[in-house]
Amino acid sequence: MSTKKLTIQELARIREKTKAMTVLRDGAGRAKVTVHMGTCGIAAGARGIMDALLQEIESRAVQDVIVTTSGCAGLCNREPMVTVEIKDRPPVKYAQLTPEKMRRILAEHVLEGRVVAEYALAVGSETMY
Amino acid sequence: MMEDLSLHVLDLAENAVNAGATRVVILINENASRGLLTIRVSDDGRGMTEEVCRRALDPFFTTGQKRTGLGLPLLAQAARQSGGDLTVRSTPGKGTRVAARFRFRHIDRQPLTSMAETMIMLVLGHPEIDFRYRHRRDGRAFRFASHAFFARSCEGSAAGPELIREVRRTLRSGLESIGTT
Ligand SMILES: Nc1ncnc2c1ncn2[C@@H]1O[C@H](COP(=O)(O)OP(=O)(O)OP(=O)(O)O)[C@@H](O)[C@H]1O
Ligand SMILES: [Mg+2]
Repeated sequence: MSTKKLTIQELARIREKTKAMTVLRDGAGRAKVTVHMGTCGIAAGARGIMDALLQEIESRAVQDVIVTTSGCAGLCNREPMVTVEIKDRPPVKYAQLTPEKMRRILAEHVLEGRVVAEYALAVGSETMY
Repeated sequence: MMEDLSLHVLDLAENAVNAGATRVVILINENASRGLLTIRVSDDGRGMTEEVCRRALDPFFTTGQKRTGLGLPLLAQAARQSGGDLTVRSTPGKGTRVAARFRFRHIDRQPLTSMAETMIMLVLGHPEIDFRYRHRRDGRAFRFASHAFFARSCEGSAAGPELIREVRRTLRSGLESIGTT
């Protein structure tokens, strides 16, 4: 597919930007939120959960939270789910989310470090399976 | 269960992401005058063996450990119920192309509700992947290439609020310019 030709400077900037993003991904960020986007997650509303998360990051001008997606978390009837990872702490999975719950998790857990226990499914990665 | 074609597009692109793609091409063609809507997602990921490709449309067939194997069968069903079809072509080590066709005006054709939202999630959730998106709608077209966009966009933090805002604004206004969302 043809897109507009890139200049050398633009290519260099792409490289810098993707490098910056990889650095974030590799652990320089404050936290990482993974939205589970397997078919069951998408069918249960995962896209709207990620949208709420991005909107909140945008409106609160949060700079160092990584948002990404991965496949099914293995519990289709508890979707939509996200996993929150804060540096040097065990990951926490949240289930049956709504945009409202997602915004609260961002505010309390991601930004202030307090796990929202009432929505949490498991602390640690695989404990519930 | 999944009654929105823009969600199916997200699902197809997530398959490509799971297959280790570095570039994903998404083509949408809404051709009302010819009565046809087509969706094509191609990737340069690891591809499928003949055996996997043959079984990919079977409900609950998956090569993932925690996945359900419902993405492709649900889309195939959505295409068939509107008088269309779904084809999968794949070459191991080269990539995969999934194409779905729908009768535009068929009563059971699912709506294409929000390609903007689907593309925003893909582009921001996987900045390392170059998404090439082209959406045609009755003679008008909108294109978006994520890595070229990153190169031209603001200097602010790579994954921060400025970028989210710019991606959102560009996709929304681009799709608006061709009369959709
Ligand atoms: N783009 C692709 N590249 C390589 N293999 C693919 C691709 N798309 C699908 N497959 C293969 O086909 C299988 C079935 O895909 P499908 O989307 O139906 O289910 P899934 O992705 O495994 O699970 P689910 O979509 O329910 O989360 C996958 O497990 C994978 O092996
Ligand atoms: Mg899938």
